[in-house]
Amino acid sequence: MTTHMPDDSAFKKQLAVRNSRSARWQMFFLAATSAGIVMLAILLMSILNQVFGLVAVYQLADPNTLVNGNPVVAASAPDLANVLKDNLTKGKMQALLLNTVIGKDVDRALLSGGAITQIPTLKVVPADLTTKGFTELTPDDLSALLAANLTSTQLEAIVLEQIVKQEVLQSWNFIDSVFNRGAVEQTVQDRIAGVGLSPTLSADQQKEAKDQWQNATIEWRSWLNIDLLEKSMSATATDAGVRGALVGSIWVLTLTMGIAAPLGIGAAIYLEEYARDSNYRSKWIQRFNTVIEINIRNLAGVPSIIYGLLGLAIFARALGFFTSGQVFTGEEATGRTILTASLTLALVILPVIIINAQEAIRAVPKSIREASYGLGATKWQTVSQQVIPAALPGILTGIILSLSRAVGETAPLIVVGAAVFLSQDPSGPFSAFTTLPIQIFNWAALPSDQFRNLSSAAIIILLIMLLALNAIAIVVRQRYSRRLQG
Amino acid sequence: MEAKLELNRKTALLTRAIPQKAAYSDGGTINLSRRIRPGEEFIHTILLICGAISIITTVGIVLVLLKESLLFFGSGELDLVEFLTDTVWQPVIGRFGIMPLVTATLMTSLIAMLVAVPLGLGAAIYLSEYAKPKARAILKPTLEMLAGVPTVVYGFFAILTVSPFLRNMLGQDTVQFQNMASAGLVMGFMIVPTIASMSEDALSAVPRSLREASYGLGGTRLETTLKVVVPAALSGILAAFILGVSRAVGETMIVALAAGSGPNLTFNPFAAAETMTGHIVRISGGEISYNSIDYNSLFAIGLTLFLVTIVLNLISQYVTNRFRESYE
Repeated sequence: MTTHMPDDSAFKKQLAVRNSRSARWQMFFLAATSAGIVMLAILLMSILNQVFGLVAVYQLADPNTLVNGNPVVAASAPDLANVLKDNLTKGKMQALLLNTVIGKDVDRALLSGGAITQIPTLKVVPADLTTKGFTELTPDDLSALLAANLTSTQLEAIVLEQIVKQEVLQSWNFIDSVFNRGAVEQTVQDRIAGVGLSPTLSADQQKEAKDQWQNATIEWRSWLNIDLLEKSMSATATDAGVRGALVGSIWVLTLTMGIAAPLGIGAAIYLEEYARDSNYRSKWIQRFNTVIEINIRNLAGVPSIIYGLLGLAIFARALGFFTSGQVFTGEEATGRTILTASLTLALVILPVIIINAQEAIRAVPKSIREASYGLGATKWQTVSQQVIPAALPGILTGIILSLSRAVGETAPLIVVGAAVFLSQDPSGPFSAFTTLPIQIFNWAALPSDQFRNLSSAAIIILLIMLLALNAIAIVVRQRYSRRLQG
Repeated sequence: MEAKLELNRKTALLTRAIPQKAAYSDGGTINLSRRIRPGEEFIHTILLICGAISIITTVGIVLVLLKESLLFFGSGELDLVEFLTDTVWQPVIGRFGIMPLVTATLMTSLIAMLVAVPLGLGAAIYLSEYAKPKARAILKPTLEMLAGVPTVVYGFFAILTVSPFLRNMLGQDTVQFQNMASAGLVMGFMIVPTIASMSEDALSAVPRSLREASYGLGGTRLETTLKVVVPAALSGILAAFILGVSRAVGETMIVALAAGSGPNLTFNPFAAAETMTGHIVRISGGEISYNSIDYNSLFAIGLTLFLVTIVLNLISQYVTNRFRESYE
């Protein structure tokens, strides 16, 4: 008589092996779950590591003593204008007045002859200058005009840009700055001695670089600051900011929501309320509805870059006369505008909005509809006054969450033709555009350390926007569902 | 009388607009026809158009990709066979072989799946079979945050941290600055939540009675999980894997930043090579002129990409529906 059961000691041994194997695998499963979370933590830390740290700053003049020994920050407009006069040539002063006050588009004839009071953009003219022409102005006059027409904040920015000319020679990340200060000092000493400078520099440039390092100050800098939000694109890291990109992102998101939300909700209502209704069904309509359902599921899986190609060929090119605003202004322009970007992005998030809204509508109890019909309401009265209000929190949450996808979406916008360089902020649906993630991409692709710092700071802003959107989604859901209960 | 009313109701539904009258026994009449409500019909039409936008989008995608691809193949520079088999993609010398772009896409996707499959499935098993409700309530949303991070941030992370790390570990000469390994690794972590949450749904759908039966026979928790629950949920898990592959193939910003900026036919994961999506982004990034062969070539790549992802998505849906084990 044989038995398949092992004897007692063998069984216990086997059981111990099985249990220990079970425990080992449990460790693996826990590790797999934690791995992703650990990665997320490393990601956040390595980005924060780039946002704060030491920088070697070189500047031509010290902004703290520039205005007769006083700091630039507190100085009055005439004082700042005087500093400009003392440090710049007459030609530069003229160019400044032209660029900042008069505007480059001014009629050139007004500049070459006649009194400056004729120039419409020159608002304030001191009494003693009213008879002078533009070319007759002395540096003192130019300085007075600048002081009269610009605020001290504007002049401060000009002084910093034209005279202080701050330049970041090198930046260090947070960990090196805190725990490896010695290596930072060593690098500075090396550079002063000429070690580690680019070998392609000529002898003169080498000397200049050494001088810059000699006079450089080492200081702490947070790359995430108000300046970053206020400054626009620039080729030099210290002058670069995200204002244009941020404005572009807000424009694109607003328009995207305006286009995608009504379409998505409409489609969801159709699929949930009308397509399932036997009164509206013929065989063909029935097939059509099935095709729409399958199609939406498939569209949700199409890579967003494909939508970019669609946007490029249809919205930017074929409909370029419309998306460029040509039909409204008559001006020849390209279709690579905010409107094109928004239309493309709307198509990207449409399936997500539809699927979420469908779920929200499906969750509304059938009894509510029956009660409404029983009171004699029509289809649309039932849908608009009973179903939609009941499903609204779910629909809104879905829209906000799809927006948080749109915020970070980059690839389709690059493909439809984001501007490589923006000279002015986007100001409407027909402006050329760039957005925050595209700005991050462009900076990240540059080799310089400082642009990596900027890129990291911009990523923090992007993540804050995402968190804000998600927080709004949570608040909306809670507030509305409470109201429905009460 | 009853029968007549019923008949009238039926004809009313069939003919819709024609008013029908039914006689009551006391001689009065009632209009049983469906009233025409132009407002309702109008709203119905508007909503139908909203629904149809998705179809228009799909048709638009297919038409645009086909039209521009036909222009590309009709340019006389190359034919379909050359496009699919040539091993060099160099528009400057008129060589358009998609092979190097496809192999790079395959390599990065493969590396991503090597990371995402064990981690995603492991996480799904832990969350569904092992974690206590409290731990689950914290772990799951945290893990899903990985899916919410914009991909451009992942790309930046790959070149900022992962690539230098690999270079320090394996040597600056072995690992190039941009390389498929770092792009694939980071992409894998991005896909983990997709696979984890889909697989977890499949695992949770397996009825409790199966687990109880296994425990009753003396199975350990591991044996129950691997020999009973996972096989029962296999179709859902497979569908999750395939969807993961489809996401990896279509992923753009990570590979555009980290994988490479030039087509390169290589299977060395530490070499730089440009994927299909990366190439589209780099070429369209500048102000590309319409009617150039470069412009048309983007759509040929796009068409290839579209077909690959659509096929993968359809397989995923088919697997889910066809092999779904149904329990009461």
